Amino acid sequence: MALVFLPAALITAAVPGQGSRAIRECSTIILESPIDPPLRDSERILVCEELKGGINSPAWSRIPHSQRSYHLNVFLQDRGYHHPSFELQDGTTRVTPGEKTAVSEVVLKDPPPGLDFEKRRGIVAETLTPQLLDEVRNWMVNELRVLGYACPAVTLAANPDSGLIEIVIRSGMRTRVTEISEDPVPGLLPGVFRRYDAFVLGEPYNEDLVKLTESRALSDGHVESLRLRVAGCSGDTVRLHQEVIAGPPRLLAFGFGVNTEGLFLVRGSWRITRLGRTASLLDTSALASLKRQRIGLAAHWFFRPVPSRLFFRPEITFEHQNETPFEAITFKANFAPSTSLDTRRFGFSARIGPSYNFVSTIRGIGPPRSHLVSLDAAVHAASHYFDYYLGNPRAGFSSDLTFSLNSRNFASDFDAQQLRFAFQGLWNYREYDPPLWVFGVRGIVSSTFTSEPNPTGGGLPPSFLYFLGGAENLRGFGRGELPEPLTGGLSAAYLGAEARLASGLPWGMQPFTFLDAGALGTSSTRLAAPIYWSPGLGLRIASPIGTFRTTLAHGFAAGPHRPEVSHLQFYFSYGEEF
Amino acid sequence: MKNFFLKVSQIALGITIAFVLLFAVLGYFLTRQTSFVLNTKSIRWITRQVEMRAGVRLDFPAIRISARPSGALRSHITLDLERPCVRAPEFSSCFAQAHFEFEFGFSKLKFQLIEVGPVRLTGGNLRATFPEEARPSEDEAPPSGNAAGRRGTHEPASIRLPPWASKAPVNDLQVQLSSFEVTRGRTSYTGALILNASASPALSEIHAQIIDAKVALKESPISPFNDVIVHHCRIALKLEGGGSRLALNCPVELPLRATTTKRLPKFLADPRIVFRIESNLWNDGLLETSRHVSGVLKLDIPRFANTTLAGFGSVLIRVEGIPSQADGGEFNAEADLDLRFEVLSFRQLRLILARTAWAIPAPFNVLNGKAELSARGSVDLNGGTIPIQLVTDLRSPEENFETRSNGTFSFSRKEDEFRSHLKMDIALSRVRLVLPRIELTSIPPLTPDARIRRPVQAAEAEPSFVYEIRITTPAGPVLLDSNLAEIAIPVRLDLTVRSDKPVSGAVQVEELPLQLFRRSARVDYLNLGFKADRQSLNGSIRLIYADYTVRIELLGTIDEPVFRLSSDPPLPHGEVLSVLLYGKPSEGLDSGELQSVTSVEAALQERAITLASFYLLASTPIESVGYNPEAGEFSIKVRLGEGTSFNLTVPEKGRLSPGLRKRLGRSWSITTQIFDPLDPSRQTLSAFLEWRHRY
Repeated sequence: MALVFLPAALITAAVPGQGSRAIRECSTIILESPIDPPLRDSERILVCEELKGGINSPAWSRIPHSQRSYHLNVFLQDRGYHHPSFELQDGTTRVTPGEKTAVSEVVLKDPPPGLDFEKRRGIVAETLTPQLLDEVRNWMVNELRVLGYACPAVTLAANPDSGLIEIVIRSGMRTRVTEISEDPVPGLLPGVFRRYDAFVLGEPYNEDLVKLTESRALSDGHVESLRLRVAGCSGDTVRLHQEVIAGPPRLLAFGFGVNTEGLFLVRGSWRITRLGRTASLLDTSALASLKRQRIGLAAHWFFRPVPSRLFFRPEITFEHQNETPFEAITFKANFAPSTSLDTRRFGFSARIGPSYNFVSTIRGIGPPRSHLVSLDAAVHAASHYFDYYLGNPRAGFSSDLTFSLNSRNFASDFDAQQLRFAFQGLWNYREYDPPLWVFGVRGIVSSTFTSEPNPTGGGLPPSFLYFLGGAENLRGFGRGELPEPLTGGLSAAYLGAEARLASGLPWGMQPFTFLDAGALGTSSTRLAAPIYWSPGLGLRIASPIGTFRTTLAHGFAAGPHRPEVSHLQFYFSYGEEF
Repeated sequence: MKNFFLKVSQIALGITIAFVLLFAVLGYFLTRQTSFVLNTKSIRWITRQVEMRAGVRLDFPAIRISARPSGALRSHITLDLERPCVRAPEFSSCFAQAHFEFEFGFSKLKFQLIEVGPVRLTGGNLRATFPEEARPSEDEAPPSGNAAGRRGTHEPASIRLPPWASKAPVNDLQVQLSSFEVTRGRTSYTGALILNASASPALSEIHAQIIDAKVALKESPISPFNDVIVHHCRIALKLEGGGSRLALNCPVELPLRATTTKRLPKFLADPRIVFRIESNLWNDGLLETSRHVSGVLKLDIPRFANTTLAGFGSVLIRVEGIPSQADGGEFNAEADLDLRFEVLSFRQLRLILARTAWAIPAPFNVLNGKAELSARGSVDLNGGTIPIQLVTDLRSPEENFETRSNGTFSFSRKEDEFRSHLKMDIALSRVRLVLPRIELTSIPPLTPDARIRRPVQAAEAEPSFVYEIRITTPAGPVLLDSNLAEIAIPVRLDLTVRSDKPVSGAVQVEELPLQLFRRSARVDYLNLGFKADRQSLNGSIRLIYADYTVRIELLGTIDEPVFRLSSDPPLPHGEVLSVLLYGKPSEGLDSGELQSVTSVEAALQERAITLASFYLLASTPIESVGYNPEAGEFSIKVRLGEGTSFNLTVPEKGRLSPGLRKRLGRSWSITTQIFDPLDPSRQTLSAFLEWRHRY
């Protein structure tokens, strides 16, 4: 079914004597000015009479002027030309496309409370085309579904002369999710995937949270596809129906990443995604980079009948770290009950449990060998929209609080309590869609409380000490370059701010500027001079195969420091975000 | 006493002889010495008197008068006027030459005009402007006479002549107007005229023959025929019984003016309609539209034919009433129609219309054959319904178009408004058409987007012509040949096209075997419903496998179809898809195939699959299918043969979706996690380009 047409250049040629803009599309059509985009071959079938190869039927080999004009009018409308004129001259249709019509204004009729079209960018001043109307309609329908109107009806009308778009909205009642029906998944109990729900039954419907639920369920790899669709609206209630394509339970995956810190990153995992009727999970993974190599075996054991978010998470890992300040091998085994909770706006997860750690310090500060039995705990809180926009950060808040308790009285080689709090917040200026400016703030506060003598001089292993510098905090310094000398700190704090231009440039380029600041302390509760800070510029490119990010920053130190600490630092990564 | 009577008799005789001698002398002078009485001076004096009394002025540079006796007390007068002109407030007329001959004499002691003629008025022109006939106001008493025959008292019809002229017949009157222009209101008649006429004494009977006349109508009520040509039109007007009777026998020719059709092709040698008007009309007055009229008017259209068109017919119109009161219902005109119009060569017609706004579109413009339009029946010309029939018998090597249509053309007149309504039932009896070549990978838009439209003016007047056309297929389905189907697609239609509403009705694809998903499938039914601005879809396709029967239901609208998959025995939705795409359940699929199935399911959910892309999916060997919810694109990679592949990307309609995992292709995706690969204890966003395989 090969399509053989004369190359457009041979058929489409400038008309001699007609000025430089007139174009002969074919023997029966002359365009007085070029159109953008040009006519496609599939369109030429309906308006041109000669086609190489004679692939058109004889019944369509003669197209009268009136019919040509009709089809050309449709094609031009599709491109935003709403005022064309057609003239028949010596058997040829001369087409004056006219100017494209731009959207001048969008007017909503009967919008429900909370619907704000002002934040929708990229509509006003754009060319009025049917595709743009589809885009507006789909955006409006989705926006209504996010506000809770699960079954809206939206109709549009556009004036080709004035460029006015009128949107008539029949939102219906604001709905609450009251019921979720499911297609059975072989081998699993019904309701297994309710543990991933980002929404709460009985609360107002929000389509974004439904999609977040799907995404969460898929991220663990239990099934190949999971869809929650609206099964019907009735009054102020909406029923959802879950459809699943399970696929085989074993999942083999290999991943690749790159950054200037670890150079190439390779990750492999083998996972049994559906163990038992509660879809427990067994995962074997390996990660390798220039800086770190790690092998792990973990399980998510959902031991309670569904629906339950409580699970046990036993895990064993071997890790080799080769950082600038140190080199160490760590063995860790932990067993942590974990759970999660979702409210209307936030999702929480927590785990707490004992772990055994063996650390062998090969190079750098720290005891040669350390045995630790710790009580580890972690609490993660994030707004739903932080998770929702994970692949393209623009809004939301995330925080993590971790602590590790170690005591000589509990089979540890030393007393040390480690506390870490990290947060990240993103703001979309005026909640534009697509976003225009995205502002971000992130920070870390870490501290190790210990009574061990000389904790930074070898009393504690490197995992209990803090280093700054690198893509995760101070981008004007090399990874783990601070403090100097490379002894680590007992406390650390970092705060970074970033402003990114999220749209407007070609090829998905998003430049940003940032300022990072941090300090380390040799005591658990006091930070010491100098304060390190690094302003810089960066570029984020959202390509079809992922996000590339590069930064160029200069590190400064306010306070006594070695001159060589202050330098330019370049950073490049694939896949990492602010 | 005797002497008294004798004396009285002598006096009376003397007076009588004196009067006789006086009349004889006067008669002698008038008949023998006409020039003594009738000369330039006297004629000019007469014209001045006429101008003073009647406002009509006669000018002539020169006049020749000659007279000869034509009997006792009779004289034959010849008047020749050079370039005479008659002028009045409403008209003016000049001739190159005017020649009058008449005889007058004494008869029964009266001076009388005995005979008039021959009269020759040649080389003339006429300009006349009359105001539009005023309609009587509601307060005015209606004139006498009505459609039912109510005839009130009125002055009998007559042409008033002075007594001395009332007995003279007019013989051999000939008028040649090389140009005339008569304007009445907004109607204007121009042209040329050659008229012969004669009249009986007192003009009680007038016979005229228009030898040759050509009239051009401005704002013609019979557009596009703006010219009227008559040859040898005989007119007889007889005054009798207080009224007048008009008999016409007129061949009339209505040519299509070239400017009307922009440019007529040369082979259209005879672009005109020729018919004959015959009438026998009685008028209570003298051709007065405000008086009662009754009678018959017949139009005979003899068969005319050229290489393209032919037609014939007749119209018999019976009139009764007062024409000027037509709006008030005081005038009835009923017509019996028998008209037939044939297209002898549809191909020739196509050539005629090719460069007009009525060009015959493809794929109809390769048909050839005949078509016949006929109108037969009775109709009230004030407003009524004409039955019409249309038959087509057209064909080409690839197509047929045989139809039988019946309908009505209704119209009504109210004041100056003429409204008409066409209602047709077109029955497609044997139709086979070829659809344009369509490539599923790139289907152009075929209709304008109805959402982009100019606002309807609220004050728009009701259109003067509306139509309602119903198209059905009672004799069997229409067959549509398409490159997308191996056999012609049978389609039944029941559509109604209205001028004031969107198309409504249904299009039904009948049972049709197809190859879908690499096996034989059967379209049980596929209905497209048209209602208001929406087109609904309702269809069912069956595919039979060894262990399953899969049914695909098509619902929703043409723009946003919904595909519901089911099976017997029942399988989950995803399994049905797996069977459709790859012929086996999902557990038998490799990772890439599994991802294709999930992509199709996602796209179906999001209604990102159009009818065309579904057909492409179903009819072409698939290499892989991808659905990118973030970019909103549904992509199909199909094998086109010879090792080539084609990527069809259908831009979607959703918005940004959670980006934890974004599919790139068969087994590749980008997975984003809160995970620092270099420090798993840290919560950092990281993304990996990932290859996955399930087994």
